[in-house]
Amino acid sequence: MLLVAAVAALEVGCRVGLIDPQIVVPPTQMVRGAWEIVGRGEGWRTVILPSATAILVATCFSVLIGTCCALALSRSRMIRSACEPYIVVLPAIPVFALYPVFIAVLGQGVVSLVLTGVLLGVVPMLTQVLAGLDSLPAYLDKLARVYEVRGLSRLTRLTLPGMAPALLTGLRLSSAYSAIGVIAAELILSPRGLGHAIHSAYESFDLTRMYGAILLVLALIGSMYVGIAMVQRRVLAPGHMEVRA
Amino acid sequence: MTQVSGAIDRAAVSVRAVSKAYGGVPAVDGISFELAPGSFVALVGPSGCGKSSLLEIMAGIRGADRGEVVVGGRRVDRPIRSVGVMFQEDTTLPWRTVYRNVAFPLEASRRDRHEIAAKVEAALRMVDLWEHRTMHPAALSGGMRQRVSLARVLATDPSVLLLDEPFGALDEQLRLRLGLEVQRICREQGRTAVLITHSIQEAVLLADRVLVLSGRPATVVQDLEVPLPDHRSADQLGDPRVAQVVAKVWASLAY
Repeated sequence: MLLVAAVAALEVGCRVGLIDPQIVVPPTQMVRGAWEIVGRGEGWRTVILPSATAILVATCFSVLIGTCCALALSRSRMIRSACEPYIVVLPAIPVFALYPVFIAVLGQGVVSLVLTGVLLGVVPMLTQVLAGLDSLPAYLDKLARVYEVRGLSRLTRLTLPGMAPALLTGLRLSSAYSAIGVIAAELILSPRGLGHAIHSAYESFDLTRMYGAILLVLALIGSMYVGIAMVQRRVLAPGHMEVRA
Repeated sequence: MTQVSGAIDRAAVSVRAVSKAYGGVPAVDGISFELAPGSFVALVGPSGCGKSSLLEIMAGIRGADRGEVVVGGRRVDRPIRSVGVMFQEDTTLPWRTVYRNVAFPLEASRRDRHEIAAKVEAALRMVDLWEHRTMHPAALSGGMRQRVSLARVLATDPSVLLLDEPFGALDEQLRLRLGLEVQRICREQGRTAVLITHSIQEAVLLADRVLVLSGRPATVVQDLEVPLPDHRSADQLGDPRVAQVVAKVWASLAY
C-alpha cells in the first residue's frame, strides 16, 4: 500500500512538474521503457538473458563455494579462528575495483562478471552457513552418536536439514549480492546485459530506457528474493524457522 | 562389541567396576550392579554426581576409563541396537513429521521400507500418537514431543531402555503420568529400563529397585527393592510402603 502510494505520488509529481523530467521520469514512462526492452526479442537476448544467466551462475557458485568453505572451516576451530577476521573484512572490499584486473586476466566476458558476482555473493552464504552450524542444537550430536549416523548420512539427515533456515536465508542474500555484483560489473565495461543497458541509456540521455532498465533490475532481484522467501516458507516445517538451542 | 560368556550373561545389564574421570576429576568411581531382564531400575543421586555420565557409558556413547558394561552378554564399547536412550531435552527433529521422527533411526540404519512402516505404526500406537503422525513437533505439547521421542526409541525395539530424566522438563502431573506409561510399556513388553530421575517419589513409584548414588565421584551407596506390585498407579503414592522406601532413599542421600 505504501509502495503504491509512493509510486502514485511520484507519477503525479512528475506530471505536474514538481520533479524535473530531466532527472526522473514518471513511473508509467519507466514501465514503457522496461516494456521496450522486454517486448523486443533482441532485448531479451542482449539485455535480460545475459544478466539473468550470469546472476544464476554466480549465485550457484556462491552457494556452493560458501557452503563448502563453511563446512570445511567448521571442521577445525584453529583454521576458523584464523580465517574469521578475513571473512569479516571481505564484505568491505570494493570488489568492483578489481573488475579491470579480472578483464585483464580473464577477458571481457561472462567469466569476469560471474567472478564479481561470486566474490560478493559468497560472503553472505559463508557467514549464514557458519551461523547455521553454530546454531545447530547439541542434541543432534547426541542423536548422531546414539544412532551412529555418520559422514554423508549425518550431513544429509541431520546437519543440512537442521540448518535449512540459515541455508535458505544465505541463498536469499547470496543471490541478491551476486545480482548486485553482476549488474554493477556490467555497468563498467560489459557489452551486454542490464547494467550495460542502464549505462548506455545514461550516456545517450535516454531516461525512459535507463529507468526502464533500472525497473527491470529491481523486478529481477525482487522476484528472486520473494521467490526464495516463498520457497523458504513452503519448504521449512512450522517451528523450524526458529532452531531450538 | 565383544561376546562375553559366563554368569553375567544371565543379567540383562551388568555394570562392572566402571570408573570415569574428566580432566583428572573422578565422576564415576568403580560402580557395579546388575539388572535382571525386564526389571525397572531407578538411579537417584545428588545433582552432578555422574548419573548421566554413567548412563552414557551404559549406552556406549562415552567410554569408561576402567571397568565394563555388558548388555545381553555383549560388552558395550559403542552404541548397540539393543539399547535405546531417551534424553531429558526435547530431541524431536522440527523439520520431520511425528511419523518421520519415529522413523529416523530406522531410516538411518537403512531398514526395509515395509519394516519401517510396521515398526513406526506399532510404536506410535503404543504411545497413542498415531492420529498425530502427520503433525510437526512445533504443533505438539512438550509431553507429546517426549512421547514422540519415546516412540522413536521403542521403534528400534531395544531390550534395554536408558531414560535420562526424560520427563524432567515437564510439570509434575504430566511427568508422573508419562512415567507410569513408560513403566507399563516396559512391563508389558518385558523391556529392562534404567531411569535417572531427581524425583525420589517418582523413582520409588515406577521402579522395582532404586539405586542411590553418592555425590561425585558416584558410587552406589544403597540398593533398595520397592515392595510394590508390577502394576503401578498414581494412587500408590499414598501407600505406606512407598513412604518407607522414600524415607530410606532420603536417609541414604544424607549419607
